[in-house]
Amino acid sequence: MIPAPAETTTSRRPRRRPEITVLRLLPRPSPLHRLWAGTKLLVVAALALMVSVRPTWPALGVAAAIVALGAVVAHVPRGAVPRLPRWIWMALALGAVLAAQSGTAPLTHVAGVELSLGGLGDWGLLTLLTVVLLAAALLVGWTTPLGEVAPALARLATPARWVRLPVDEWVVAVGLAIRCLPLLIDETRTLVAVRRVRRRRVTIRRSPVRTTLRMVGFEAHDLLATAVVAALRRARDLADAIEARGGIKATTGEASAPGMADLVVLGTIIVVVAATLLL
Amino acid sequence: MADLTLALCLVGHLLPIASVLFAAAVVPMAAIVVRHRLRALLAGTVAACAVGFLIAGLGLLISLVVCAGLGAVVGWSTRRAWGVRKTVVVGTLVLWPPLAAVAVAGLAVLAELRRLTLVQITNSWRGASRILRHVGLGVVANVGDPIVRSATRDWWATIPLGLLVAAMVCLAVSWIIARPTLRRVQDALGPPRPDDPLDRLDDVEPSDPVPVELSGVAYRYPSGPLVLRDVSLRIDPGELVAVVGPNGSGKSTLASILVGRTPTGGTVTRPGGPGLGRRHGSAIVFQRPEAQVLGVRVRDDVVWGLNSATVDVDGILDQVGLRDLADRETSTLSGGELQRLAVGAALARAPRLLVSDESTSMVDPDGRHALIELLHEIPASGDVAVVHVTHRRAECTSADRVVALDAGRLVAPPGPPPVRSPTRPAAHPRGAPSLLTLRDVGHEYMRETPWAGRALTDVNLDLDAGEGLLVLGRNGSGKSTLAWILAGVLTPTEGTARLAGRPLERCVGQVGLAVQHARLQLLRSTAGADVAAAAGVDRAAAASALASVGLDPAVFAARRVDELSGGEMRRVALAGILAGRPQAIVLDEPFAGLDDPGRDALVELLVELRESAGITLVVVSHDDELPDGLVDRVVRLERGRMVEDSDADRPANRTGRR
Repeated sequence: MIPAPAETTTSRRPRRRPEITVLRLLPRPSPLHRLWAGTKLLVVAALALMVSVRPTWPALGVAAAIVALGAVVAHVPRGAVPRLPRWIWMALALGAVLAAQSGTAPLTHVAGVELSLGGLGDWGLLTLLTVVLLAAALLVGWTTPLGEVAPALARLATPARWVRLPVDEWVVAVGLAIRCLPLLIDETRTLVAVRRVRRRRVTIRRSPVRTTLRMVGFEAHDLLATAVVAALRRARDLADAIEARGGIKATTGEASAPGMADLVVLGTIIVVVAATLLL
Repeated sequence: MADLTLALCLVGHLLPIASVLFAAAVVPMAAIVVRHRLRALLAGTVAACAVGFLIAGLGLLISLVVCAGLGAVVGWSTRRAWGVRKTVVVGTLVLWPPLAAVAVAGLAVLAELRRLTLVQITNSWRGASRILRHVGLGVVANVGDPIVRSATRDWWATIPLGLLVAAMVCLAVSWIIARPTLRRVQDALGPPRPDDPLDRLDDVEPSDPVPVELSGVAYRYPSGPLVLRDVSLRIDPGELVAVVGPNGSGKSTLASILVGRTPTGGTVTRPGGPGLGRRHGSAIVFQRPEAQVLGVRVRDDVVWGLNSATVDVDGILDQVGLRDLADRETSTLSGGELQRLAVGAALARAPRLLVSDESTSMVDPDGRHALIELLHEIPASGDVAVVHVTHRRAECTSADRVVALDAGRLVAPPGPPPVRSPTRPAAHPRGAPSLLTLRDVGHEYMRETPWAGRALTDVNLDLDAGEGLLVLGRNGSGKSTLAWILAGVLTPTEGTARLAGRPLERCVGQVGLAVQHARLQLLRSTAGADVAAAAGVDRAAAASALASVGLDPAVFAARRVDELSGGEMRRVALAGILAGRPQAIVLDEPFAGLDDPGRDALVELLVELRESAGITLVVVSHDDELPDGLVDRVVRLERGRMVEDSDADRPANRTGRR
């Protein structure tokens, strides 16, 4: 038997790349899954509006509480939370350091270093607002079957129909965009793999900076052009398929409609948001 | 298209070099404008915004709108062939006023958010300037202090000014990045296709597509050769007609004429209009399974474009054997299931003529049999005429009538096909140290998330130099995952994968990978340039690589990638791999969609490569009827496990010989 090479290499795996955990339905059903897609979209929009008008700690608290409640009801497991790339953490840390050094009152001293609590507070508020809004959007993606998004938008966009905007066309486009996302992800993965297999022979280290930049430019170009061509070809195939079905009309089997639960949720949210804004 | 923009914006949000990626995201939007109407851009923007809002809320939505605006200007300027200066000037005049107005108005209304943001900017600068003073860069701090102070105080002036500069820079950068790409896209796809003359008469004419009689029909694409000449035939209700012929024989054109395309010569007689996609009209099922499914869920797809109340969805899904999958998302279906779904969507329109245009060619054998059986049942179930277009003669045996085409003419139907026996591996001499080794390899996608899915389990494999391996498995058996691991582009989550003792993921490029969708492998605009770029070799070496895959360099080196046929694309991709002198090549479904002569030629080429160059071959396929001599070992995968190995009795310790 060939002496097995030291198994230690197994543990020294390259860092796991962040996987795409957005817009994927959580497999375990929950009351939040059953809510009408339009309700969830409206709630996210309402929260965004609320914290944009009143970016204060109490408003942030209310929004965070609503999102946290949603996460608990939807049984979001910890593994679903996307792993952020390292540089985001570094950027956040840099922001915190700058804010701490701003000298905005109130101040405190830790181990002889002056820290600005006022600056840190503002920084924390702004950062957390972004995080809470992102979490709200993620929650919708995790609990909404993508097939329900387009019909819900169709219903929500009814007012736009009164001013004769081509809403139906847009709804079809949204439906097709959602339908094509998995294809796009697949094609992108293939492109990345192809690029990696091809890349090896470019001797970047020996060439001067200018040439290297040119090579990088060329490569970006190649990938972009190929991706666009692939997307256009797919669009052409889709157009044929649409033609074969007699053109654009309805998009979904059973249009889901808001029910009692949706009214309750929407009503509660409206009251909470209004109260936060007025108080 | 909107998806692509969205993806680029999303990556742009997550990456530090965001600005460049945003400029890249403009390209797809611009491509829409170059090739279609502004209205298409509007629909695309709405779609991207809706999905973008779902992913990351308002911020992504705003950047998508900006990208769309930039794309509209750049696309328009490409159409009009404007220079960079004119583009920037016109674009700024068009984009900046609304942008600035919206920004200033928004900040004026959202007073508290504005205050918080400005305080944040001031704080950050004060922190930065203090640190700068600490490290002795007080000069910078002194210059910056008043600028930041007045900029945040007079935000109503700074913001529009900043946006003006940003708009001009973004326009220039977008123009520089997008222009060459757009030119290549235009080259690749030719001029935008005119609205297809697929029949629109049926609004006035009731659909009644059969019996249809073609007499002396000819077809010529604009400025192209004649693809059909003097075709006369008749299709009656209740019969199953098979149309056979090699690739490029005009079969697909004939199919499109049957469902309503107007021929350039001869006459087509029907009792009514063809009514493509209408109730009781004609329906067509195309070749690529994933390209013709429009619904997100199976149920939605059946009724796409129909009033859902009039369709018995469950009955139709029952008929095509997909009843249990009604609520599944279509992206999770296999190729065979997708094609049956496409037939189901056709049946939802109660068609009187159903045309299958090579619908079986990309599907695994089981899926193919089910599909042919289904097509066979349809004429019997009513007064429906079914036309099945195929390059496989074996599929014609159950048809009522066979029509053969060759080079656009009707010819006598060929005899029964030669019976292919399942691939019988030839023994391979043992003894050489093994080249590729997989030990207890397993792979799980999306580990530690709720969506974790196992693709491979406990795969053990030794491959010698010069050995040929066929990996068989159905859709979803993990064979593509295995192919990617062998090529080193995917690191298995368990076990070790090595090439001559080194971990495979560190030898990327030494094992060539031919992906299934060959177009994605060809990144340059011409075949010769692509081979040279793929392998990092000069033109001469690229030419000889093209010759080695049987493509005459004089003809093909300058041939545009998008003018190649499917088989030729595969060959060019293979040439690019060979020119890099790999130790092994992994081919993922290399024969899907090829007709018999194309397949035989590719097999012959691969056999020769193995024999003359001693290259290790791994062919991943769902097709177990490959010609002999290509491989000398067959491994079957089922749900990620190796369930069969023709070489199982081979001594693992490789001291013994067979």
